[in-house]
Amino acid sequence: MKCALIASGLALLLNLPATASPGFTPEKKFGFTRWFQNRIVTGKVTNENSEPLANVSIQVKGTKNIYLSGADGSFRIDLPPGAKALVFSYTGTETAEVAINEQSVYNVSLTNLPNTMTDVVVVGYGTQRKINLTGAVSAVTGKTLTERPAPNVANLLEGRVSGLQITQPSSEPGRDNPNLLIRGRATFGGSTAPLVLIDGVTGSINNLSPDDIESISVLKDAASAAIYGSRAANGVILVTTKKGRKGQTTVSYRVNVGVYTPTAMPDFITNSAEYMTLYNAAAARSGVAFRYDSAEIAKYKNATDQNAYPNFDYVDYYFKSAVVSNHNISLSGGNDRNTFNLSLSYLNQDAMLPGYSFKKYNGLFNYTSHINDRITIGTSMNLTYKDRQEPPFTSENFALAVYAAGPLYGPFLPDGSGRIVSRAYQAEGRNRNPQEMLAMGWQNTKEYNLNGQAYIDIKVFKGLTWTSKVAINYVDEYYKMYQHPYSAYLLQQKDPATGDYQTGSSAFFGPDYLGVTDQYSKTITPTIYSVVNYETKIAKDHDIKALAGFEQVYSKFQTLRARRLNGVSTALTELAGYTNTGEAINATYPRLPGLSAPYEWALQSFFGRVNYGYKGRYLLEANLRYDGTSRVSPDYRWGVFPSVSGAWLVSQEDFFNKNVSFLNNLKLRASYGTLGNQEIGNYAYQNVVTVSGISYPFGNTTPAQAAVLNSYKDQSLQWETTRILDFGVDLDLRKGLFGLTFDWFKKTTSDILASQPVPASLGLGSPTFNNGKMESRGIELELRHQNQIGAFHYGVNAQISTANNKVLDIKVPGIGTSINQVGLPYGSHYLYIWDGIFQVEDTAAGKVPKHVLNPNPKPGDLKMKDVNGDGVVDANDRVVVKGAYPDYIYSFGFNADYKGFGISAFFQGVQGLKNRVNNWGVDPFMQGTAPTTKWRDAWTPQNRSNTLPGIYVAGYTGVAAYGGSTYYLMDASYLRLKNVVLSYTFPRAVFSKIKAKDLSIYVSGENLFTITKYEGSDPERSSTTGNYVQYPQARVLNVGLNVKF
Amino acid sequence: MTTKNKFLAALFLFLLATGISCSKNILDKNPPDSVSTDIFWGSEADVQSGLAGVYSRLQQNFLGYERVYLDGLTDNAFLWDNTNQTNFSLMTTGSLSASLSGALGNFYSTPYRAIASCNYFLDNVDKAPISDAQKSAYKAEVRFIRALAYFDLVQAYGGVVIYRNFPSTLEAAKVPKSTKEQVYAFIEEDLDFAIANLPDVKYNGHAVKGSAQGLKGRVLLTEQKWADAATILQQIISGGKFALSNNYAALFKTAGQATAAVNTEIMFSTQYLATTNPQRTSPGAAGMDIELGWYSLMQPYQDLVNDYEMTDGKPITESPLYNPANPYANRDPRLDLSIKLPNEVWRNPNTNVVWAGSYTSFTGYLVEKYVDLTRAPFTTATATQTDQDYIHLRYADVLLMYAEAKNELSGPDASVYNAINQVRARPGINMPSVDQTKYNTQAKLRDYIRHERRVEFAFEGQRYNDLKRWNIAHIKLPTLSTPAGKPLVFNTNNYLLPFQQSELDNNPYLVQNPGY
Repeated sequence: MKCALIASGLALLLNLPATASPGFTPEKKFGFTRWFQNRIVTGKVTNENSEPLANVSIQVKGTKNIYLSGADGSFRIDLPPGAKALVFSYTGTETAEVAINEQSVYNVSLTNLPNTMTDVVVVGYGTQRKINLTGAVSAVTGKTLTERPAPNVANLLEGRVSGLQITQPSSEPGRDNPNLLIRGRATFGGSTAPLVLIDGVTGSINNLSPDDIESISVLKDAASAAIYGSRAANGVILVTTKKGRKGQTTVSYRVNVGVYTPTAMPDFITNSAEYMTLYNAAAARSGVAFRYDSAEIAKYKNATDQNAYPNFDYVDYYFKSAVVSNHNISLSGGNDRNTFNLSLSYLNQDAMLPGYSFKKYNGLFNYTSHINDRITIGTSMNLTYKDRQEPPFTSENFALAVYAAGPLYGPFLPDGSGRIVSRAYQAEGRNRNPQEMLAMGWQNTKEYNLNGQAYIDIKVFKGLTWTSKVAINYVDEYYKMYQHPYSAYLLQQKDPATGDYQTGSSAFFGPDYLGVTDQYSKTITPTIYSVVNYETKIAKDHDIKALAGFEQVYSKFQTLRARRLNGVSTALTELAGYTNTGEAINATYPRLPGLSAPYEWALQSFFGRVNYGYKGRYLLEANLRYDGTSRVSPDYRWGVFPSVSGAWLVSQEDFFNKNVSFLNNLKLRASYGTLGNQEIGNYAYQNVVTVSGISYPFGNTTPAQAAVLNSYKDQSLQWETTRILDFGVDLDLRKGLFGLTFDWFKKTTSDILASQPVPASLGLGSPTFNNGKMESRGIELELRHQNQIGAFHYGVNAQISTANNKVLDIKVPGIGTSINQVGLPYGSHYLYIWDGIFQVEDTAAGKVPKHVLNPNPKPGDLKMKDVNGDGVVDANDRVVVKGAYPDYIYSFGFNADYKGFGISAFFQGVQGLKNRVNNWGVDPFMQGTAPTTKWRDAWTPQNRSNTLPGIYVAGYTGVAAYGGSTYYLMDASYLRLKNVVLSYTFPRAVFSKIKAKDLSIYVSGENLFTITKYEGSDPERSSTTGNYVQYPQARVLNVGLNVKF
Repeated sequence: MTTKNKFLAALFLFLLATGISCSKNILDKNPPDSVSTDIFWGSEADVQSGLAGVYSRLQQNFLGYERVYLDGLTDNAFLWDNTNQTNFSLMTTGSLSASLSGALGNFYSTPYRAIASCNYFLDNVDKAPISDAQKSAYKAEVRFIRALAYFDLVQAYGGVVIYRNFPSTLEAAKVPKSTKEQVYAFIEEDLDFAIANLPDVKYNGHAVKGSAQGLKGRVLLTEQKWADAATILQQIISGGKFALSNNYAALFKTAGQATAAVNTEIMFSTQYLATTNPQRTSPGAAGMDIELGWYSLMQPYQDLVNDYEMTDGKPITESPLYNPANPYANRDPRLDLSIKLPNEVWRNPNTNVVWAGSYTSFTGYLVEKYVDLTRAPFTTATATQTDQDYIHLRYADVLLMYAEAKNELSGPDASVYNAINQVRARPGINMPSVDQTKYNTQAKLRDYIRHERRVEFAFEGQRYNDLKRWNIAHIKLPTLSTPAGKPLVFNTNNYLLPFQQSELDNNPYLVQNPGY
């Protein structure tokens, strides 16, 4: 029924009478009037600084004739009879109308417009002039993004948008997809990831090349995001790719080469004899049986042969600088009718560890054709191919093996045979030697991504545009894990029979997932939408815009994984080369990518928006989206997501216009609306009978297939609902001298999906209900300043944002080392308070409170605070400790240019975040990990340290019992020079010799320095708990070149 | 609009329209890897899967092989705590309370999981395109299992919540409990339907008429409806579909259970099959071979060992055959067949390989019944082969229940002695007939029948409910201590288990049993 309505509605639009296009003939359109020319005028267009402007549109007033200025700003026009004036228009300048007199040469200077007046911002299903925005939208241009060279677009947004928290997990090739969080966490049920749309269609921002992005808009409040309804609760990021511009065809080439080095690494003890001595002390303290023999220690101490008895520095050996190169070539241009942009990018990224290779290829083709004045069609094809080769262990798993390898042995036997060492002594604690991880095999991921679109714009009549788009997003992923047997040897133990280095199954771990595992998966997501836009002005003062549309999204995911373990030759890496003994379909293993079940989902939506402006001073906007999702049961499937917003342009009031001329813009904004989060799982409401792996063997013969119902499903389960209230102010003084944007928001999410306990007599598992509630409040402030002193241009900007969340309702509170409880931020640290080190006199009876988790403490153990003063340190002494979320995130930067020289610098910081981290690199001798040098100053009866416990082997009760204490909490606040760029644009005289239009070179640095208390590693990481070890973040030095022909 | 424009627009509209699915079910998406209840029950195959699903609930906790551990709550054996059934020993040593977690919860949740499956089946089977007769036969099997589950609940808790149907909402599941009498009436109703509709054939893995009759006999006996019990048990005896096995030991082993002369005694069991349905796969492969024969979880008390007669039919306190220096000689053969004695060496009967891997027993004894030494030496690999069925009901039980009912009804008579003698005279056991001069009164014969039951059914999970229905648990159990010297505790309120606090929280209408 709904479909029928739309179809007939669309048909009606098509059949509008032809009178809607009065007096329209091909002759005029194609400028045949030139045959009747009687006069030629020439001239040159420049900007305020007398620089020539190319591609300025010059229209002979009253006609359809449009000319473009040339590369040097010059133009030559055949005037038709009766021509009265020329109209010059150009992006970013005021439109100028020049009356035609007897003169035949016209030199025109166009005045720059203040940015805020002309900026057009992409919003849901359309664009809006920035001045007319009523919601909280932040926009970033592609130019800003490419100021910083980095492989992943999403990471380039870091610090650029207030209220958008970006945490790059690491700089590991292909695994640097950041976590995006807009305005803080506001749910503990569904996903917290924002909706990302590329040219209006679902896609992955991580697949784009930075060079292909025209602009990015971040829709933060309900008013701007509500047009996306049930997908918008976590905010929306709209990415627009570069289109062609009419004018001469331009060829641009950009190359960037960067060198990556780790920002910070732990400082491990690398002297073997010292390591062994410290270990023996730690083992004695910790009650671990293995000790290094004193004779063996002496061999290391007095060694003359550094190969046989090395002091090996694994961090130094494995973490090397990596080279990353990025090339982009684009061809863009067009004429009055057709424009195009063809862009090809190539990224080759090495890792700071061996065994990796990452290559990314991007192709973008955007094509637009104005078939006539009424119809525009266009297409966009974006293709990405990523090829990621890695060791079988990646990320922190590889890094921790490097940490865990102590100094006692190198990767290879000293006999030059190339055989790998597993460790020095059979009984010492170890993980795999990193070289074993490289020897055992590899894994590879190949991802093909296609984003194809076609659209048509029809101007049905004046003011009414009908846009329709068909798009397909197709992701094809192929994953392979390949492992084969290998051998490794003990450096200091020889086989008595052969005299060779000892090996055998107890000497090394071997491959962890033998054989070949292949996985194919594909996701196909077709999207269709059709939008009608109407814009009109009534009685001069009333601006009205209205939009109505329909959208349908469907997505299907399929996957198959298979494994075979017995191959005839390690040279074979294809499944077909293996036998079927022990083969498995859809096998799971902790280190394989999670095995996803196949799924489908679909969304149908109707939406509308009305904008009303009165005299350009009072702006009102209302949005409505009506969404139906397959993820909710039919009875509850359709939901309404409304929003309203308003703005008052105070600066447009007559009073200001007349008296306060320096004030370009002062706007007060307010918005409120409802959004949904349908990322609640695909089949959360559905009662399904489980059939997999269930049978019953009637009569002890063949098992009969069985089907059971395992958990209760709430049929009324729905999306989570988020309401956002936002108040904002925009202020701009003349010519950008000072600008300010401020927002306050309150985001409340109710109906959060959470499990609810049920009576056991129900006989089914605990179901999920919509019953949680939490909120996030915060502020965002952006400050801008730009100025020009002679030829010196400069700008300064700064931003800061906060987002504080609080659980308002939770049915099953969680208490562990973190706590989920009403009134507290979700997942707050809940820890014992570390109170120094037990000294010898402390452990005398009665001197300190009894520690329940360490009932017989030794001097040198961790001491905890008896918070409630009851004489016992027990679970009741845990307290909420701030730091699970940052107090605020901020950034600031400046840019300046003078006669072609440019400098920009950009600082970014996080304040108040604390990570609880342990194990490798923190706890000495964790799987053999050497202590860091600070442990030389560990507690001993003589050295009464109150900051470092007595040295121990990881797992020792005196320390490990209080893993959930503030001892392990590290302050991850930081301020870093995220990026600095020095660039030079050659003068026209230079590059025009090589027939180029533009030529510039630059050097830049990333993460050049960081102010932080975080020791030995980088404070920026995605995980706030867990292992301290990580694949390092990188300090990057880049050189690059831009050239345009 | 020009013709060309119209054509272009129409073309695009056509593409758009072919893309937009106008069928209303674009939003109806079912998971591709499991079956939505909306489309299930469309065929007899679905019904059979649903039925197998109901039976599969029997493999969980005390409805399956772990039911033998109920003897750990009695004077038969000490049960070591294990991670699958935690806090079991606390239930016997005075810590039975609403806040106790672990095994206690399984007494409640396991039968209810079976009941939920039964009700789901019964509420939906009518949708299937099969005949009414077929439906009745399937329903009879399911109602038998529902009765089995409710019987467990009523014995453990007295009155409990009755669900006749699958709760349509969560609130419908939160209802007050029914009385004990109402639960028994409900069980009898289910069993009567089952008896009327199940086929009267030999047991084959599916419940048959005899299974339902035998269970009803046990229910009536528990209700002390002696006459009704005797009648229905007599019907089974005269029906002739079941007989005593010719091999007591083989009855509890995989091979024996597959032999006609042995399995003729089995009237209902939870069935297993290697390697798809071994006794336990999660969290790791295990089962009775491993848990009883290797980990030594259940360790028989001396008190039980002492109860086995001498081969002359006299107790050890009276028989001249008893030699304290050689206490295991000349004993009722069922002692050695049920218990690994201190001087005994276990060998794989096929390979003759010695299995000495068992953990040391604190009491000196290990359970041998249900341990299948043909799979020794036991490893985690043999664990996946552990598939002997747990027997809920066997013909010897019918005979002894008949004897008990008839004795309670009218005192000793020839049919009573005959029933007991049949069990004692089984081939390979050959114990002398009951001494009719010694056990000549109703009261004396009552004690003797109770003794015979303990010996015959040791480690089959019967003793706990037997002690409770005889109302002697609070007298007998406190006379014993655990190997660690902790006295066993069984107070008069312990005849009913406590509902766990979480259950009281989650069903506000539920009222706690007295004394907790």
